[in-house]
This record gives sequence, C-alpha cells and structure tokens, in this order.
Amino acid sequence: MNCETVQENLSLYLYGELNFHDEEQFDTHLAECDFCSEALDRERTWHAAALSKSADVPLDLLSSCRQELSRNLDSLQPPQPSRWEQFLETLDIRPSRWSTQLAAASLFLCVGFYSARLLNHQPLGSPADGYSSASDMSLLSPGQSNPVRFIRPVAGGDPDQVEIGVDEIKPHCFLFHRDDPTLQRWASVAATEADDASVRLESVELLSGKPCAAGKGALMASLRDANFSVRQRALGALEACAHDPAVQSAVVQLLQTDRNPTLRMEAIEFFVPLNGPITVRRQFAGALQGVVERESDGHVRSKCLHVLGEIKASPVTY
Amino acid sequence: MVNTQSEAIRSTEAVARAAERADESALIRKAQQGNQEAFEQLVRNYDQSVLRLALNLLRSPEDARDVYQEAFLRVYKNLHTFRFDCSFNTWLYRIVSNLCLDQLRKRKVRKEESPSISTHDGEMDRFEFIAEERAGVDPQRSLMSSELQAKISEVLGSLTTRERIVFEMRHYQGMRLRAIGESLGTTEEAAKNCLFRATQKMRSALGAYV
Repeated sequence: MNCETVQENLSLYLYGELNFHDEEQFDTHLAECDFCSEALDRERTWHAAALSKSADVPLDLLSSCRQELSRNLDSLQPPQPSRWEQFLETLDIRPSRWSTQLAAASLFLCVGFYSARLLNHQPLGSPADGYSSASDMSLLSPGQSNPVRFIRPVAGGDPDQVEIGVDEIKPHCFLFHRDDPTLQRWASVAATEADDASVRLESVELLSGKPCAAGKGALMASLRDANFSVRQRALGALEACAHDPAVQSAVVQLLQTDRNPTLRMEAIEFFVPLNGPITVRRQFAGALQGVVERESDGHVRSKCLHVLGEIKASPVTY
Repeated sequence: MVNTQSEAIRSTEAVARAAERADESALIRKAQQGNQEAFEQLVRNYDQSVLRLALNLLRSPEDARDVYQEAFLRVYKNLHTFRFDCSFNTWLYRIVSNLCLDQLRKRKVRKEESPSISTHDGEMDRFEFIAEERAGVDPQRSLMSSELQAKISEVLGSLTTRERIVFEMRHYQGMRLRAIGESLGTTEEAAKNCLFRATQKMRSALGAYV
C-alpha cells in the first residue's frame, strides 16, 4: 500500500470501514511512514472539529417535540393489524417479503393455468378442423413436460395419417403423415415415456418398418416395458434391423431376463427367420449357453439348443 | 498485536449489539401488539438521534420538528408491517432520510432559504442559532477557532445532498456504511463512494486549518 492510497482512505480507516486485510496493511504502512502518520493526525483533527460542529439537540426542542408527538398519538386510533395478519399471528407465521412474493407468484401461476384450461378449449392452429398446426408442434419439445395423451389413426380419414394428442397447458391435437420425421421423434419419446400403455403400444407400432436412430433406441428400450404387448410389438418392430449387433444384444438380454416364456420363445425365433439364415452372431453364443443352463421351459430350451447348433457352438459351457 | 486487540474489542461489541438487538426485538413485538408503553420506549431510544440528524441536515429547528413528528407518526402507523427484514434502526432512518430529502427538495422549489437569520444582534448563522440554544457548551468547542468553524459550515454546505446525508449518518450518527446504503435504498458501495467524495472535499478544504 502506497502513501497516496493511504491518504485517500484515511477517513475510511478512522471510521473503521476498511476490511481486515486493508486495515492491517494500513497499520503496517503507518508504522513505517511519518508523513502518513502526520496526515492521519490532521485527519483526526478535522474529524473532531467537524464533530464539535454537530448540533447538540436542544433539550427544550426535544421536550416540546415529545409533547407534540404524544398529543398527536392520542388523537390517533391504535393501528389494528388486518384480519389476515391476525390470522397469521395466531398461527405464529411471520411472512417475509420473499415468502409473500413467492405466494403471490404461485397464486398467479395457478390462476393462469386453470384459466387457460377452463376458458379456452379451442386448439391452436386451425380451429375449423380441430387440429393444431404442425408449426405449433415444432415449438414444443417431446418429453415429460409435454406428455403424449394419445396416438391413433384418423377415424374414417386417410389411413396414412395419424393423430397425436399432446398435453401442454391445454390439450393439442396434431395431424401427421406416417412418414413425417417429426412423428417418429414424438413416437420415440411416447414409446418409453407415455403413462398410458395403449399410447406406448401405438407408438411402437408407428416405429415399426424403418425406424430412425431414435426410434430404434426407443424400440430396444421398449423390450423392457412393463406391459407384455408393448414388449412383444417392439420385438416384432425390431425385425427390420435384426442384423444390428446392438439390437441383437438387446434381444439376447430379453431372452435372458423376460419372465414370459412366449416372449422368450419369440426372442429365439427372432434369430431364426422362417425363410432365411440364422442372424445371431457367434459372440452371443455364451449368453445363449447360459439361457440353456437356466431355462425351465422345455420348448424354449430346445429352440435355444437348435440355434446354438446352427451357429456351431457348444450347447453347454465347460 | 494491534489487530488482535481491535478484533477482540469488535467481537465484544458484537456480543453487546446482539443482546441489544434481542431486547429491541422484544420491545418492537410488544409495540406491534399495541403496547403504548413499549412504543414510547422505542421513541425515547431513538428520538434524540432522529432530531439531531434532522437538525444537522436541515439546519432549521422548525423543519426538524416537522420531520420528527412525521417520522414517528409513520412509524406508529406502519409498525405492524415491520417484518424484521432489516434492523429497526435502518427502517427508521430510511423514513427519516426520505423525509429530510423531501424537505430539501421542497426548499429547492421554493428557493433555498438564507443560511442566516435576523436576530436582535444582527444577522446570525442558523446553525449558530441552534447551538446557542443548548443548555451547556462543549469546552472543546470554545477553543476551536471561529475561522475553522466557519470553514466547516461552508464545506458542509457545499456538499451535495447525498454526500451530506451519507456524511451526517456516518460521521454524526455513527451508522455503518451497509446500514446507510439500506436506509437510502442503495448499495454499500454507492454509500462508500459518497462518503469518500465528502471526506475528500472536507480534507482539501480544511487541510490548511489543521
């Protein structure tokens, strides 16, 4: 700390408004610098002089102010807290500024939410045909915050079109052609995240054929779905990409873990198409041998042994 | 060593302040529940400081009296809304400083009144007039050269309103910069800058006299 800094901050030092570090540096500098020590003495002198210039409160003025205040207070009714404040007082709740603001914000949010739901039943976009426009949907992102309520073919309409119902603040219904990539994106999310099993089932159906990368991932995840039909449809939908190692790995896992023997049987048939060569790779032979060892269902076990024979793998591990 | 001692003093002061705050909180809660004696005690705890601040800022006993009345009536009417978000001291000085600033603005509108008033002995500084009303006179004060006293008055008068109010609160009321910032609805840093400018002006003006 140099002399200039010290002399600029002499008052802050005397007021005790410097932080600990600065004050320590100040003390160190003053102990070594006579010039600044003298400046500090001068600073103290004018501080004291200015202090003596402060108006002492004249006692008669103070006394008359107090009497006048007393008269003014007597003429006033004691301020009563509002009923709401009295209610909070009885509950021993003392709302701070922030809690009050938070409560107000929550109230406005609730009022806005329910007003939107109750007052506006018309979907955005083209109210005439009851559908929201696809551009509205592009503003939404699929996921938990915008859950898919339904996916269904258009009743009595074009068989290549499907309806997707999305719950945003209010329900939206969108119309898509089956080949639309946006539809695949929404179906991929709905296949794994929709609460309704029928929506998951419809989504898996939509993804069958030539699923996109996200769709393939969703179908593999659907092999672990809680609902049997969803798992079965997903397995069927994945036949289009039966040569994909990642898909084969997922199906082998299904074979190892699924509780339902029918599905385990279908998993083996996945690798043994009726009119084609066996698709399962030799790298999964170990997993299949494990299935043979544990499998309780005779049909599944014999099918598994057949597959192992076809890929020229030993039926058991040694 | 010096720092260790000053830290020890500060921590002792902090403990004392915490105890005072606890007592004061109890007093405020009683006053909020309508206890008149508790409110009067609160007034007595602070009214000298309030009156001194108003006198120092406004340099007029009449205006200081008005500010005193208005400030405590506002406190009385709004005490039930005080939620302990800040100290009572800060809340009170926010009211007082706003009232003083309003008074100073009004003066600007109706033109600044003369710093001197007419007496039987001729023209006299308003501030000197207030001082003469005191019961006793500080002996140190009598030793100060009249030249220095006049200069201090002149420099205080030359400060901007904000510099003046921050200087008054820090120098005469002993308020911390943080509390001053809260009272004036600004930051501690802004209050510090105001104080810095005020003390620079005082130093350069009074340097030749000390």
